[in-house]
Amino acid sequence: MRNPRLLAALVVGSAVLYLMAMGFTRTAPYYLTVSEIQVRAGSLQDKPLRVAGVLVGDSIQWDVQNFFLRFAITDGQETLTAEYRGVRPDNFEGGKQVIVEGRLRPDGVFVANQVMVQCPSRYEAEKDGGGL
Amino acid sequence: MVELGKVSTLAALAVVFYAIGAFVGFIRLRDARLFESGRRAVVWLFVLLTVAIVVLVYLLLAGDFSVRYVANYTDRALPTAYRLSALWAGNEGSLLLWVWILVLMATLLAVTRRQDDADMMPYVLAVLMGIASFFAFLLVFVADPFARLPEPLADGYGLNPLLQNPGMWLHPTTQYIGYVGFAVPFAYAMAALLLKRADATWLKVTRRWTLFAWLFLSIGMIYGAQWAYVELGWGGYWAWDPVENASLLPWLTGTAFFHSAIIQERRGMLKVWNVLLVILTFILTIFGTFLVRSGILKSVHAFSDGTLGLYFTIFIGTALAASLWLSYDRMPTLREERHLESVVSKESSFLVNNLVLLGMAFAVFWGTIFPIVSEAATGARVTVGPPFFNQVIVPIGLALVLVMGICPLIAWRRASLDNIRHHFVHPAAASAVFAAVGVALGMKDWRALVSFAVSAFVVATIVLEVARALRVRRRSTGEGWGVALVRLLTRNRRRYGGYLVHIAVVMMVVGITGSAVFKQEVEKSVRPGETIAIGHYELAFEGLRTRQDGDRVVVYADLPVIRREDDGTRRNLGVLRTEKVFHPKSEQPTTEVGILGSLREDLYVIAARPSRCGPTSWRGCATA
Repeated sequence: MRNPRLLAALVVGSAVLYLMAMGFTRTAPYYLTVSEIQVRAGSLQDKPLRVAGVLVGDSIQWDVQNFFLRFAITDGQETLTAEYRGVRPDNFEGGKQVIVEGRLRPDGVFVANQVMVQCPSRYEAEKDGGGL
Repeated sequence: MVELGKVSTLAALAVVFYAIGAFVGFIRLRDARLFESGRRAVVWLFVLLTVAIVVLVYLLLAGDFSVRYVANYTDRALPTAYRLSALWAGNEGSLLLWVWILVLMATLLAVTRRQDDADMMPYVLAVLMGIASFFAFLLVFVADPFARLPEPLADGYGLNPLLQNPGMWLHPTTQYIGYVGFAVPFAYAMAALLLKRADATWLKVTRRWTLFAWLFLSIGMIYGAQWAYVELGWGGYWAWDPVENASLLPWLTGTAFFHSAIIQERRGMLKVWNVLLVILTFILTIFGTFLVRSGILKSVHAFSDGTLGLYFTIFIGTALAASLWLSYDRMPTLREERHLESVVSKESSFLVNNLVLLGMAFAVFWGTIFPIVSEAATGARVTVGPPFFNQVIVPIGLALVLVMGICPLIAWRRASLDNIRHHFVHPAAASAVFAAVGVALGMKDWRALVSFAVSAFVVATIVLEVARALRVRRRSTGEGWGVALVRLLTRNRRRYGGYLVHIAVVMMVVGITGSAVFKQEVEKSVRPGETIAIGHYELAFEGLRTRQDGDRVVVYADLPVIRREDDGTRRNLGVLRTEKVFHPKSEQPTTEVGILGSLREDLYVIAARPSRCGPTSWRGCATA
């Protein structure tokens, strides 16, 4: 009589694994540096990417009417131009460490769907967000 | 005062080891004096830790900035209520609170005498003291809350502005009580294994503890979500942040545990499974504490302390290895008293519920630790975000809700086809009607339709169950409707309490579906005099104002809200205020969200980048 249990476990287990596999291939972004992006640009088209870099101060163009942000990030060697449609984040200034998530367009411009500014040093207090 | 704190934590470490020694000695030598001495040691440990907490609270209130912890988490400007809450704002204080709650529970067990678990008590207390010893060790050697700074500071660094919210009082404390509470059923399970007792006594004794821990964990999570919603200002309440996941994991396995415990109590089955579930749940509560306190995963909550992480890893590894080895060793005593009689039975539907909950926990766990695993395996950190979790968890969650509706309808042992047909026709029809009405009203999103139909099914099964039981009761007792209903619900609290929670879960599912599917978002830059339209709301922007609030500068706007009703009339809903607060000690402003809430929907407005020279950007979302 162990069979029904085993069967149920197999059915539920494989369904969960299938969903996870689908989820990973569709949504898991690759975490890359700016240089890695530039080297592998060809193979990265249409893949979800996540890139960290330092914001180049004089590259920021902010179109407040259309909520359009254009900027460049660098890792010290290469730079990457990025575009973002949405609200300019707080503290979005040159020298700040930022993380962008999105995809690479064929022309080499990074189209971000999310832009995060890493918290400034005092915000190590951020570490406490809510205790648990 | 600082010395008193140091001495009490040091003494606590000594006493906790003494207590372990006394209980182990009693188990070996059966000398009742040793057991008595151990029990007294537990009470003394509680006293010592209470002294440590009182001292730390005193230092926080007095603002003694020669103590590192006080300087790190408070400053002179901080209101008293938040100075108190700084007790759990950082690592050291949190760990102290953690072990204090644990020892409080152990003390309650040590001072009450019961017949049915008297032989288990030495083992239970020994296990709890073993857990407490780890935290006492951390407090003395790794995360000393009473450590002094080389030089006293004139003023502290202050509490993170995001934490200065009433949520700071409710969320961390309830979360802790929930986490720590699962240590008690774990300790009882270990005691039963050590004693080679295969019966369900440990489950009966700990049922209330489990439900208590589960209740607090649930409150903690819900309040945490509410806090994020009003304080973080991004329009959501759950971001699949590693720390949120860390609290969800023991909740999922704990939920599975107290469902399968019913099967062992009623039918003497699933014994090994229950032991494994309680081990898993306990380990996950420690893992959750570890995730927050070690900073291994970056998140809104991220901490950074490498050494603490190492100790937690060792503790988790040891506890897991020891408890699993013990379960393996006692496997022969855990033989099932009965086997599954039929594939279609209440037992098997509980089993499916368990498998689905565990599958969900597995997916969440894997998604949470994936960045670490991928970095170790390939060198590149691959993170999965909310899209992954939404894609994986939503289908599993709907399956779970469906099982929740089916389970109460199936008979124990063996359900006949007639039985099933008889019970399912009406709920299934109700859910079909519900979905049809949804389509007729113009609801097009199939995800919402599925979710609402499943929810309607669950509610229908519960209502029909109660109605059926009520009819039976009236027929047999001749009571009136009201009396019969009250007596029915109060005489079988276990069953109807469960249904009540099921209805609550359905309400959450409906709310989550609504906020995910019917959310409308508008981002707009406006000048004074312009309006923003969203859904059937219209917000007028009349300009920004500034005010000084203590040492903070607050930029705010009052937005008159008008609602266009279906009949064309315009109803004035008053003024919605949203603020940006600039703190002198932090670069980043915090957001005070303007929320106009009703049962049907929330109008949620935040100022994105108020600037006094240029136009102001606004972001609002109306959520059904």
